[in-house]
Amino acid sequence: MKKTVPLVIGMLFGAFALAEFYIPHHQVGALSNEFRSWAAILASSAFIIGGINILQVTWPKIRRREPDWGYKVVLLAGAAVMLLAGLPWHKLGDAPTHPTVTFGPRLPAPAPGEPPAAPAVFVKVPADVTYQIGATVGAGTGRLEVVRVAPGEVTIKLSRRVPGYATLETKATLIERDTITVEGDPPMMWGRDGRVFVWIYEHVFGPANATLFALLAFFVASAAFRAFRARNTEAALLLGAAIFMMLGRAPLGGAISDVFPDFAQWLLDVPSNGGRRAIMMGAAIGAIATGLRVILGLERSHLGND
Amino acid sequence: MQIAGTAELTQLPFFITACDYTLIGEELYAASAYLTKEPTLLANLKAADAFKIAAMLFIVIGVTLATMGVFHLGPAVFK
Repeated sequence: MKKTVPLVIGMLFGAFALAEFYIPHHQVGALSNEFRSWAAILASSAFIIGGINILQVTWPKIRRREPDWGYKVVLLAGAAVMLLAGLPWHKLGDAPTHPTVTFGPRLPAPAPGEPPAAPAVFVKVPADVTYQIGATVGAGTGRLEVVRVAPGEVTIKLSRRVPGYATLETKATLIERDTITVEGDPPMMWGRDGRVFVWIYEHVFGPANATLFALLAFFVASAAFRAFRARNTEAALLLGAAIFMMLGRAPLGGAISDVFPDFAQWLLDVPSNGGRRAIMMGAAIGAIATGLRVILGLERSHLGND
Repeated sequence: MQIAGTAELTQLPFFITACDYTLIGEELYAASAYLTKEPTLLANLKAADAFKIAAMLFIVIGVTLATMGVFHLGPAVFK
């Protein structure tokens, strides 16, 4: 029973996902979209279970002070910080979504024969805030700035150049001689696009990732040196192709002869492309076979062993 | 000894240089059949091979027809 029910559910939904391509009815498409939403919810739940699992696995090791327990503290602390930074806390409060627009006294009427004065927008925003009043874009200075606009509807946007802050936006309809004062301070956001999350991503994760990849370059270079020794025919072919590829891609090869870049491109376009397509087709047929095994209930490894 | 397997083309060069043995593409799916020798898995492999031969035949036929300038078989077959 513990295995049969998941197996039947897998078979039914797998068969439906396959049949969907052959039934061009809109209700089937709608149902399929609904199922995709279920799948997204299930996948999100899997993340929660994964989080609990990490806690169950690492916490006892930290408590027992097992070897390398310090790394596990870093893992849990990192996960906790990202979880807290990734939640949209800013939605809890009543952070402003619009700039404050106040109408002021109208400008004096023009002298007879003179054109009426264009509406004036007084902008008072902090120094790091960018404002957009109609077509005029400017950076705040912390002092009062004046922007003259044409009469009519004007879009007012306040944002920060630094990512992770909300954009305050509103519209105002102005007639000749109107004056308005625009004030506002775009609030910091939390969550996936929030300041803290983006900052950690750009200043902690990014450099750490780059460091690891930089180390990988040295590792791959030494591994390549070992792999490229001409032990047998295949290794010799690999070595030959690699030498032509490096010569063709480096400026030195082109300086020696035009043949090197052309031959390197031919290697990529013909033998490498053919091999790549063969791998893709083989993998696709393998994936189809595995998919069919799941649908037919022959594949049970994904249900666990107990 | 390190054995790696992937059907992801972008991962392949790293595995080939860094590991002793690499399962490339469909070999990943053949690994369980090779290790367990289970008849259903072996049959699966046989079927996949048959499909591959069929795909190769279709490619050869397609390339030949395209070389001969035949792009629409409909009127010739279903008249």
